[in-house]
Amino acid sequence: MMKLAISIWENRLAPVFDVSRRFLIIDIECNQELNRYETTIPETSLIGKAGSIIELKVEVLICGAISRLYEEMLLASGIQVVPRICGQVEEVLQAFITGKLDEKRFLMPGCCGRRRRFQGKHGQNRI
Amino acid sequence: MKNNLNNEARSATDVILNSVADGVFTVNKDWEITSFNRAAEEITGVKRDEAIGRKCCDVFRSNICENACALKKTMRTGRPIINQTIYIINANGQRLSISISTAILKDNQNNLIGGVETFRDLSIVEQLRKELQDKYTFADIVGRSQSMQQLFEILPEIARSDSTILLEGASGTGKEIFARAIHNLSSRRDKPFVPINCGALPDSLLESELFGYKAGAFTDARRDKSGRFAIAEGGTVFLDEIGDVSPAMQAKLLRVIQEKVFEPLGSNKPIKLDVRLVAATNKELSQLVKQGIFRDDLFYRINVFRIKLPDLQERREDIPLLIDNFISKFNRLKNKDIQGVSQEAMAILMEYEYPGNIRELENIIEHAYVLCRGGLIEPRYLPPVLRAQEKPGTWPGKKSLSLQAMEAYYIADAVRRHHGNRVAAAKDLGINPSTLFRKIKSLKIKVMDEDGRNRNKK
Repeated sequence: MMKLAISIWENRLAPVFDVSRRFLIIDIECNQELNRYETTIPETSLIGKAGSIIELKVEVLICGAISRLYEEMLLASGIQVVPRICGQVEEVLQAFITGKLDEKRFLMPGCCGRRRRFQGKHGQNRI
Repeated sequence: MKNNLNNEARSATDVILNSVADGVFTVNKDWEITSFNRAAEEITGVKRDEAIGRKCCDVFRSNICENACALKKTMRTGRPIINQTIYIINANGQRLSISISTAILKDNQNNLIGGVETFRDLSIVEQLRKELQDKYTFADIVGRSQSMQQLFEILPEIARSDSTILLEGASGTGKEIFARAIHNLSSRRDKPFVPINCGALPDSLLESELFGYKAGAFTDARRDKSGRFAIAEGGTVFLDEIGDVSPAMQAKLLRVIQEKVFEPLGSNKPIKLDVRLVAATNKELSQLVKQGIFRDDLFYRINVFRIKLPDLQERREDIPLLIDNFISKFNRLKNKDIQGVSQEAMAILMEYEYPGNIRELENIIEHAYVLCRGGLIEPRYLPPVLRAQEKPGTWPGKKSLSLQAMEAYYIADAVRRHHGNRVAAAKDLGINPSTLFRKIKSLKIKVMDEDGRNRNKK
């Protein structure tokens, strides 16, 4: 089973992870969603927020724009970050499950040049 | 005919917008970008073609998009917002301070059709402010490079958190200085900071050093001795070279960290542990875990927050600042009055690879102090290893230094001397500013701003 967190705002991905507070947490197994809940992280300081996400035992975080420092801190803590993603939450989730998150419509403009650190396996994500 | 006029008007508007130094974008009522000028491309790192038609929040990525969108406020109230300071995250993942202004757009019939936002990059202003406020030093750590500035930003927060910190960095990158800074900025600052080099001591000695012992615990233990954990009570213990600890000692450390108690050798009375742990290593602990050399449970306990300290090679732009700092320090310590480093010596110092990092640079300057009595440190005062490639009669003293490298040195030096002001640097070098910008880009010169954007045009 894998625990996924998506940084959300209204029904879209939050544009900037650094200031976002709402997270959708989803348990996924064999490409199936098992369980989901929404949580709010009140702490907005860098350390506090990173610590809260680590405490949620999240393995993969999908988010919008994220400052490099945050991204590196989460990566260093063993969380796989899939950054600079945009779009409707449900579409992004389905695209992640089916390994189609690399489609241009889910990538924030101007971010295609930056290497994404999360690598899918056989066209699908390892879940 | 009408279409032609419309196209001409649109093209004229584009020309005007592209000639403006401030970033400008417009949105329709669905918050989709309808125009995006050249300065906006430069500041955000997003190309116009990619921006048009996308939601403004996905392009602009500011800290206020979610809850306090200035444009939304203007469209709702009809009142413009002038010079509000916010930050955006550009395409390179950098936070940029910008100043924004907003206004509404109406058609000929006075109907609301969207909004316009103009924005100005404040990075250069911030940089100058930092220069004025001496923000390039932080708790004895020196650095103007972006990597160091980022660390300065998070250091106070890390210090306050009281979590265990893992510092990773090659030898000489300043791990202990960082550990001390974390301690000095924390609420434990009035209690002891106790460093111990785990790699330098055999197991038995390390155990007695860390935990202490009771009289009679072993042959030479004539009286009780407090361990470093007890001495640091309420303070910080800095475990240097944690990657060199034996498996047996790793198990003991894990128990201490997990249970927050320890027993001195020869005692069965547990003592409560109240210290913050900062561990450091010059190895990649995650690799040691994979190889089975380091316990994964201990790794996860100490890897609550990991800070990677950059090699000096990765922050070359800090070399002149570090040299200035060491010169001030050695002038005080050695009661000398050395003014600085000559251009020739600086060229050699800028080119050197520094396998020993900052500690090696400090040793090089200290070496020069032995030979140099005053004035400037010249190449002849540098250690032989740096002068090995020196060829008499050539400038700047390194046989391998190509014309390009020399050019790069001169440009970087001029920009540094003019505190990042490229126009002034170009004037000093006797070249056109545009030539300077081109050369900075083509020679990949790292100057004050690493992202290579032209910040001086505004």
